[in-house]
Amino acid sequence: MFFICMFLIACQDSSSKNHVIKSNDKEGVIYGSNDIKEEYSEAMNSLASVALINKRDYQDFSAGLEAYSAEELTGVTDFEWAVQASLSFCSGVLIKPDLVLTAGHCIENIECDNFVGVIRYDKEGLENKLMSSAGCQKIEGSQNRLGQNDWALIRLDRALTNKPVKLATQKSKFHDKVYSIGYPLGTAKKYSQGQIRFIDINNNYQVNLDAFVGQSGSPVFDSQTNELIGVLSSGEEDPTDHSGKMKVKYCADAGCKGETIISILNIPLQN
Amino acid sequence: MKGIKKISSALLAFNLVIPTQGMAQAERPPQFVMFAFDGSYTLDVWKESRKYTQDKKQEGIDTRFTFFINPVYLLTRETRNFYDAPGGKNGSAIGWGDSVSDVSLRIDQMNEAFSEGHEIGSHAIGHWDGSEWTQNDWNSEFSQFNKILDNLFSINKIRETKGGHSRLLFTDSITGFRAPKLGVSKGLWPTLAKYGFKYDTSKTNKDNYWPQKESTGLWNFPLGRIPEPGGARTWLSMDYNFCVRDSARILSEDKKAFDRTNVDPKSGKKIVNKDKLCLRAISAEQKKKVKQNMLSLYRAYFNKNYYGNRAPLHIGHHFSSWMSGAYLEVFYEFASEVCSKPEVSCGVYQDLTAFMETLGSSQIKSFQEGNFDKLARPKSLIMSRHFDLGISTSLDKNQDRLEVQLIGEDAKMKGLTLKVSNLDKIISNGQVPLSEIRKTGQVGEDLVIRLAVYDRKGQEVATSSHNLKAVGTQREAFDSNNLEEAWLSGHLEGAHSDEGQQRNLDFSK
Repeated sequence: MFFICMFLIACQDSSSKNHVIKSNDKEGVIYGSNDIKEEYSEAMNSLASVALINKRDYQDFSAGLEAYSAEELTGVTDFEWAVQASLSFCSGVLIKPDLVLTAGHCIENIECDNFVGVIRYDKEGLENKLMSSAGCQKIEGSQNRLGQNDWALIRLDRALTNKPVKLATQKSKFHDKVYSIGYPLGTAKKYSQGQIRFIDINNNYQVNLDAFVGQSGSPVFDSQTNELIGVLSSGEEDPTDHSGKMKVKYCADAGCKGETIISILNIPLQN
Repeated sequence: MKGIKKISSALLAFNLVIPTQGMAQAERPPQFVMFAFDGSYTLDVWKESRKYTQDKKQEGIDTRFTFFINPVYLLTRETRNFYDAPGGKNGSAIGWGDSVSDVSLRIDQMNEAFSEGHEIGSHAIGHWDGSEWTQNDWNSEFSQFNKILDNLFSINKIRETKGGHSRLLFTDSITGFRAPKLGVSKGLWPTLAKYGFKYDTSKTNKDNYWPQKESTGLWNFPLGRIPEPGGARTWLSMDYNFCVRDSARILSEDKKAFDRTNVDPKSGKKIVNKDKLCLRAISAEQKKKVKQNMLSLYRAYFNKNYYGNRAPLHIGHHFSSWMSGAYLEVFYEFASEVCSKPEVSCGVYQDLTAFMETLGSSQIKSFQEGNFDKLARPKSLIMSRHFDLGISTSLDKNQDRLEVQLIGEDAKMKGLTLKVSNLDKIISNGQVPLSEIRKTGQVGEDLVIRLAVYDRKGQEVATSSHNLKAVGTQREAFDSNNLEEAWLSGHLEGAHSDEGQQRNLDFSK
């Protein structure tokens, strides 16, 4: 096994981006170049993205109370968007008008009554006050085995008008291009793209999407079909410095742990 | 755009995980989470804690506790002369067993707990603060500890307990110690080594500290100092230390909180507050807040280590139902949360000792540095960073005003407000007239001035407490040292004061 693994490493593309791991000044996990972009409503599947926000925080924010920015909350200073409010603790996606799929660990320590699902938590939605929320009526089902069976289905207390996403029915393949929509560091909706690095023993996907805390439960789509292939669960650590501020970890596209996507085919979706 | 060179599809058929890092690294150690109780009086807690672990065993989850016992609870008023407290102390700081019958029941609980895989350790005998004790004093304490346990049945004239025990089962298996009030002195550790102890849990250290074997041959298993996420304070992983800080907050928020009386719905007995340092009867709303705070901090402690360097966690609680039982409930709820997770060991301290004995010093150093393939981390945003924020205080030259300043990198954070809790007043100009503080007490009285910083969401994020002695007299003196620093160590009066009170706990979660 050891020698096969050594061979796999040796096979990696030495001509792709500069894989030198930098250790200074940035926060989060970036694979290769920084691919995180602000997401707008017209992008495919964007409107089905749901931010999970603590109910009290959402009420305070809606009432005009200034939320902590991502910079204040995590110590991030390097990205332009870090000055944005940090509201969302996890990401999710509408798979039916009143059903949100997210990661199971997202709801491990929070009761249904204490959070809301929010749509249009994006830059445009914030500027034009287009955000709206639905309460959590019930957790329809969940499993919380990080990186293995990590999913939850949240029944909302009302159906949303946004169109749910289409679910993939076929297993994705190594090297397929994918994209994700989520809320890095709890900020407004962002888009990130990457590739499947390998398929693990549980038939989940390891990808090189740039990912930060706040993106658990982010839907991941096949770039060609725009079908939902899974949700983000876990990945490389977001390191902290001695004062507890988060710092970036720069990884080669094929380096570090990668980010684990729970395959939609592993999630029982009978609801 | 990302790029990875295609790898042979034949090789991919193995579904191999590519070990891009860590191939030469140490194997990831298990996450030890040590749950321990100090004291041993309350029979109900013995029963509840054993029942809890039996229930968990039925679910396939191995959760066991270490009980650091005080043998004064194995003596009675009639047999108390078998203990001669060292260091000029007299009797017991925490009382005695109620009767021979009560002692007999306690022996049964201890023996049965031991038989079920729990560990019995020593919390000394009379719960005296030994920080001033000489080695001879410690020697006397441990010599008497053994003598009492060895002769317990004859001392109490018990032939056989109600549970059918005619001896203590664990006397030869006691290898661990926690000092009452965490009061230690230089003479303690050589004495522990002499009496065959293998580890000590009386110190404190950073939250991700990997144990070291000290020159005495004892393992150092310290309580953790937990930096508060979204705040500037540090908390010690022991319930009584939480209680002191929580009580100060509650009393500052509600001046009538001390006068509160709760009624135990089961027995109908009244539960009243007796000590402002640590409240027993609080409102349901405050209980919820207290529980949430402790759970958040314990989760922060766990997550940092579980996904980080895997340093063992040390949770130290008492049999007491302070804060309407909030801490006892958190003890079990937190155990339920973490003990079922993969790679977590909620065994006893002797398990941790055995594991540590398998490691060399270079391996421990490697673990401390987190030099192994760490567990993938969840990507949820569940907690804020720890703030760099403090409160600096001094008196003006006329000793009329307290000058207060926020310090640290986060002092510039938007929307912070500073309040004097005693006056329920916001400080806008950095000055507090002492004349106003004096009015809150009697002449000659010692007051505690509590300063609190709130963030723009109204959350308390930093506090500082200071003595103002002999208020309004010639001897009046302000102490700029923050009393709360002491809440991170020990030497706090009142631990165990609550044992035996009627309780109304909710173990449903």
